[in-house]
Order: sequence, then structure tokens, then C-alpha cells
Amino acid sequence: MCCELPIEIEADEKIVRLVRTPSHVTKNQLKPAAFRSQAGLDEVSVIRHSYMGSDFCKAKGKEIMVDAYVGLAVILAQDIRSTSSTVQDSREEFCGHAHISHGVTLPREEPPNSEMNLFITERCRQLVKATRLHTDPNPSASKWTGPQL
Amino acid sequence: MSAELPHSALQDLFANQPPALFAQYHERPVTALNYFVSDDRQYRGAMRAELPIAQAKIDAMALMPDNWDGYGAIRIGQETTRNAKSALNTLHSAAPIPDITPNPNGTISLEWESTEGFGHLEIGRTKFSFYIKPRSGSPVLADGDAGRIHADIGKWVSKMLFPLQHSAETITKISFTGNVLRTSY
Repeated sequence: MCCELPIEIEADEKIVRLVRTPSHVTKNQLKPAAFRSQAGLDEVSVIRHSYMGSDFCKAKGKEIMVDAYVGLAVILAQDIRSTSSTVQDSREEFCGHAHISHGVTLPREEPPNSEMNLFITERCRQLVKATRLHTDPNPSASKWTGPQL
Repeated sequence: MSAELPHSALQDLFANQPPALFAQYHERPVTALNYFVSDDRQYRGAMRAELPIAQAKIDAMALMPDNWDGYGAIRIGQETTRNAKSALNTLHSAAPIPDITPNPNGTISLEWESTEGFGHLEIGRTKFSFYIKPRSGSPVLADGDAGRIHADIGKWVSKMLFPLQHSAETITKISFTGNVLRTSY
């Protein structure tokens, strides 16, 4: 199927990270781990909310995370880039999908050394500060019923 | 015979306390911070009851299957689980129980945050890495063997992020009048 979204992500685009419990949130606050990539990759999956909308994001959340889905975290593309991380369209996953990259790949089952730990965790904390967490008021509903993102 | 202990019983109890212990508690009020500290009474530790809860949280993380986050996360291995529980056991007498987070690359993070800064201990199968970023000043960094995480890490966390402030922390005051223990809240 053809994806008709522009490849370029504009500075004012809203980007959504799907949020799961318990690894992404604590006491209703987003954790730095919400922006960490899996081992060996530098890709944090996000959705281009400005084009795809809240209902699509929620449907993906329930599809990917099933019962662990708890809400949507929204950040502007320019706020991601202001930390020196990048956000790029990756429509090969699905139309509307994008990746945040920090310039670091993490080892499997081991922590990065402390300098890299400081770098990656503080980067993720910067992103958390620029992000608004919207906990889904009704996760079982098929559509997004929370406030406008 | 009255069901209540007579005051004389408390007096007896008190009379039998080792002098050093008596002097220690008599000399300053028991506070929320200094009640749960390590042996050297300089660091803010966790309540003992918090430890099994935190360890159960780690056990639950170890049960998560591969791809537990829906994005291809690695399951938390047995060695990492053992190392994280051992670290909690070592650190809890010196530092508060941290926020515990599984990471997609198969490690476990222990995090402390206060107005003084942020501390992050990441534990893996064989290694750990640690840093504290204070609100001002240079970060503290440490790396090492995940099976031998030293209590000094907890002391750094306490000293840098949760410093004791004796002047404003009293919650419960215990005072003695005529060797009778009275507690006020």
C-alpha cells in the first residue's frame, strides 16, 4: 500500500511514543527507559501523530503492547532534535512509523560503560522532560477518549 | 491485676538497657531519617519491609518473556536477576530503595532521584555501570563486576542525593521523663 506522507518530518510535528507499564512509567511519570532502544539497534519506535491521529496510535499500542498499554507520550520533533537525537521516517515498518536515534547502540544483557550510561540516560531524561504523558483514561475502549494531544 | 504494664516495668526495661544505647537515644530525638540508617548512623537507608517488595519486583521482571515490550526486548536473565537482588541487599542499609526498571537490552536499572540530583545503577549479566549527576558539580562514575556491587555505591547515593539535614527532619520525638518512655506525634 502506498504511504502518502511526506518523508521529511517537520519541526512542529507531534511524535508519539507508545507507553507501557511498568517499564515506561512510575507514579504516573515517564521514565528515561521509555526512550531506550533494544540491544544492538539505535532505533526507538515512534508514530507521526500529526498525520496518523490518536485513534491510530492507540490501536497500535493495543496491538503491540496488549494489556501493558497505558497511554501515549507526545513530543515535538524539534524538541527531539534539540537534544541532538534525530527522528526520521521509517515507513518500512508501517505508514506513519518513525525512529528516534541517539547515536548509540547498547550491548546485549550488559550495561554500557559509565560514561556512555551517563550520556544515554541523560539524553533520555532530556527527552522525558520535553514529553507530555497522556495516560489513557479508558484503555479498553477502541478509540482514544482522553484529551486532545 | 491490670492488663497495662505498670510504669515500673518500663523503668526496669530502661534500667537494663546498655548504657551506650541509652546515651545514644537520650542524646537526640529519633527521626524518620536516622531511625533506619546503617550501623555507622551516617546514611539514610531503606525500611527493611521495603526490601522484599523490591526483590519481588525484580523476580516478576525475570518472568517476562522475550519481546516483553512489543519491540523485541530481551528477557531479563537469571544472572542479571541474581545480581540486581544482591545489589539491593547490599545497598538498602545505606540508600533508599530505588525505582527499579527493566531495560530492553536485558539489564535492570536502579534509579534514585531527589532535588539534589539523579543516580543510575545499571546491572547486567557480568557488569554494572553507575553514575550520579548532582544538581551542581561533576558527575561520579563507577564500573565493575555485577556480582560485587559495593555498599559504597549506596553511601554515595545517600550522601549526594539524600543528605541528612538534622535541623528540619524530626517527625517523631521521643523524650524521657523520670526514666518513663513517652512518645508524641
